[in-house]
Formats: sequence, C-alpha cells, structure tokens
Amino acid sequence: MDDGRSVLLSMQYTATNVLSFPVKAEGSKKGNLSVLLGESEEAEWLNALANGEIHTMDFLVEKWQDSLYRFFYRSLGNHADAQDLTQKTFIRTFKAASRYRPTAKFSSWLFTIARNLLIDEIKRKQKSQTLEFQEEKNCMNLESSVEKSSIDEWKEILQLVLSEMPENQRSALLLRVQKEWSYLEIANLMGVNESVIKTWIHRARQKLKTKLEVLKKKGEI
Amino acid sequence: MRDPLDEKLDEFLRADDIQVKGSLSASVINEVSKQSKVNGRSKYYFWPTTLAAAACLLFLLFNEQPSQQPSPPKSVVLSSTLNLDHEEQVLLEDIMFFSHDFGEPIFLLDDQTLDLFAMLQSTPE
Repeated sequence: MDDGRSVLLSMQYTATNVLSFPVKAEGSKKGNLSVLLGESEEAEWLNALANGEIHTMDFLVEKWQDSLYRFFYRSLGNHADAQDLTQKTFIRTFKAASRYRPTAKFSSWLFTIARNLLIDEIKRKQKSQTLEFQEEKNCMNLESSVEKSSIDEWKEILQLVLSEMPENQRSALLLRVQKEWSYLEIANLMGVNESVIKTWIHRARQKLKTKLEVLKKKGEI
Repeated sequence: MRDPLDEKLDEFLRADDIQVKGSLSASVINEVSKQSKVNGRSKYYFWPTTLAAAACLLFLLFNEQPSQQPSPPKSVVLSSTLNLDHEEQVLLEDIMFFSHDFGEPIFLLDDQTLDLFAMLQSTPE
C-alpha cells in the first residue's frame, strides 16, 4: 500500500519536474501569482512548449479553443474567420511561449493576443471591402435573416447588430459575458479605465436589447 | 429577478451552442508556425535584395547614359581662311547662341560646321 503510494507520488513528482516552471530566478512572487490565479497549468504548459515539448500545445488547444472560437465567432459572425483566427492565436501563442511570464492571468495574455488578431482582421476586411459592397452585403444579410424561417432567426439578427457595433464595445461585452471577467480585468486588457468599460458594456447591451425588444414585439422570439 | 430579455441576450452572447468545426492539433500548429517562419524570412530577405537590385540598376543607368552619347571632338581645326557668306554667318551665330544659351557643348555637329563654328569664335569682332 505504502509502496504503491510512493510510486504514485514519485510519478507525480517526475511529471511536475518535466513541466516545471522557471520561476526560481525571477523570484517566487511571480510564480506564485499564476498559481494564485488558478492558471498555473497553462504556465507550465507554455514553459514545456518553450522547451520543445510540442505536444503540450494539444492541452492548450483542448482547453481554450472553444472559448476563443466563440469569442471570434460572435465578433465576426463567420465560422471560417473564427476558425482561422483561433488557429492564428494558437500559432502566435506557440511562437511567444518562451516570452510568457506569469505576471498576469494566462487568459488575459491569450485574449490580448486574440484581440490584437481580431483588430488586424477587422482592419484588413475594412481595407478590402468597398463601402457599397458592405452596404449591399448587410442588406442581403438582413433580408436573408428576415426571410429565413429558422428557429435561430433572432440570433442571426442579433449577430448582425453585434457585428456592426464598435470593436471595443463588442469585445468588452463578450469578455464580460463569455469569460465572466471583472470590469477591472477587461479594463487592464483594453488599456482604459474601469468606468469606460462599464459605459461600453452598457451601450453594447442597450443596442442589443433594443433589437431584442423589437423582435419580441413581433413575436419572433 | 433578472429581466428575461437579459437572460436571452446572455444566452446568445455566450454562444454555448457554437462548436469548433474540426479540431486543431499541436502538430498542425507547429507545421503552420514553421511555414509562417519560412515565409517571414523570405519576406525579410526579399526587400533588401530588391532594393539593392534597384539601386544597382539606377547606378548602371546613370553611368551608362553619358557614354552612349558621342564624345565631344578632342580638337577643332581652325579654318580661318574660309570665306563665309551672310547666310553662313547667321547660321553660325544661331548655333553659337544656342550653344551659349544652354551652356552645353554641341556634339552633334559635322566636321564642316565645327570648322565654321571654330573660325567664327576666333574671328575678332
């Protein structure tokens, strides 16, 4: 019994050593912060990744791909773009693994990468699409949304409203609802005051709620 | 109690029903990452090479142009004995004026004209 336990402990110890996090030189404060924030395993995975243990990327993907995908999907309203940006986020994470320091939550770091990619994508799309084409596309989307007798029709209409609002309002709202981050965490990620974040989220919610009320009156939800 | 519309809105925003189509794997990410590294490197070398090539071409172009023009005569034979009529004199004066006005030596004159030109220049006013 004792032998069995010691073997198990020894295995755990070995696994921890393999994925150990180099916080000795940096001081224990930084290392402990990540543990306190409850995302220590990501820090360990990134460290292992930086040391060439590529398979640890699978753990990161498994844990975070749905969150990222939903964030991108609600931001852009497109499966292909969401898939593409999710992959790009992991590639950038993979490349930057050695530079990660556990001074903040891993998820903050990851979603900072994600948001930067999202902003780049929005800029790229704005450059490539003419205004007329965009208007035409929006009209088509609205028509198809209205005409389509789908059970998720209201979701499509809300998606359109969401896609059209400013990126900062939308991202703040999504991080608040999807990730359940505090206003302060969102403020830190977006580099503005907490009160600004509250305003952005309020405005974004109001826009969506107004649309939702109209749909409810029409009996579409 | 929370507004049902807020509940509905959160349900939409959370998008729990949205699933990733297909799954990413570490090997795929590693492979794509390597490819993007290679592409990045080729971009990095592409521009300096292009700029260097363009600079060489410009250098060659500006150095080649003067040599394509006929070289100026190294000597002008003075033919002071030549008699000029009025028309010839006017022509030569025009040539002189043109030459002087643009500050450039005239290279495309035939030998006879050059003789006339030289003679006129040497004629005391």
